[in-house]
Amino acid sequence: MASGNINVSDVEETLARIKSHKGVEGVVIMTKEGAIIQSSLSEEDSKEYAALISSLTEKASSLVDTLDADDELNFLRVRSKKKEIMVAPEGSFVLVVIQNPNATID
Amino acid sequence: VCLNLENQERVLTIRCPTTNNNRLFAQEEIVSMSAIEDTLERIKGQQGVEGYVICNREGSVLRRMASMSQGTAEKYARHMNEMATKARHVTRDLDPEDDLQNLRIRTKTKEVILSHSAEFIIIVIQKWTPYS
Repeated sequence: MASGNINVSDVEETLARIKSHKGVEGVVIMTKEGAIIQSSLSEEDSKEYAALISSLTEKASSLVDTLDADDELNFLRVRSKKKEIMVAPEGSFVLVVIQNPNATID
Repeated sequence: VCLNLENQERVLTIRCPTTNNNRLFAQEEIVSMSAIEDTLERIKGQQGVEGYVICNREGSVLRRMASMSQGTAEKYARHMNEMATKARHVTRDLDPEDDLQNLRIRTKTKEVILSHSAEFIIIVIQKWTPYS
């Protein structure tokens, strides 16, 4: 994502595309600290996800740093029995997508 | 680990390296030992795989890919165990009936895949490049 030449409609388009994927339950854009910028979930769900995911992402980021100081966290996927949480940190923002991995099977 | 096959009951005995107790496995699990070996061979043979570590939840390395040093394997085992516990807590906080299955951490150069179960963790490290 090159900074400076993104406009609001690009962001909206990307979010709409992600949300329309089969199985996607929610999309959250937040800051690294867990402050919610935009979310397709209810306020309390968003807050819950934001708090848990931001601290997990922080841990993952420091893990990567421990294993290799030159490396950087690029993406994180947490898969459980019922859902899959995908986390894309980018600078000071984090994009989180929650999907039901079983919904993609037709 | 030493394996003894007791003929009569067809029971596989494995001496647990940490507690030195004999653990008994049922007959079904004899089959799964070779399935494990096959799976490890398949993983090893995949292009881009840089290493794998199988460890228990205490962080003791049970198996590692030959090309990995024991020190590296232990480092991964220790850190990924912590990571797995944290990720599991997140999963359970969101839904108490849910449980962690796997975790993928992707960096600029590699991807660390962790497969989680109650007793063991399997960690695979593979090369990653964009659009590969």
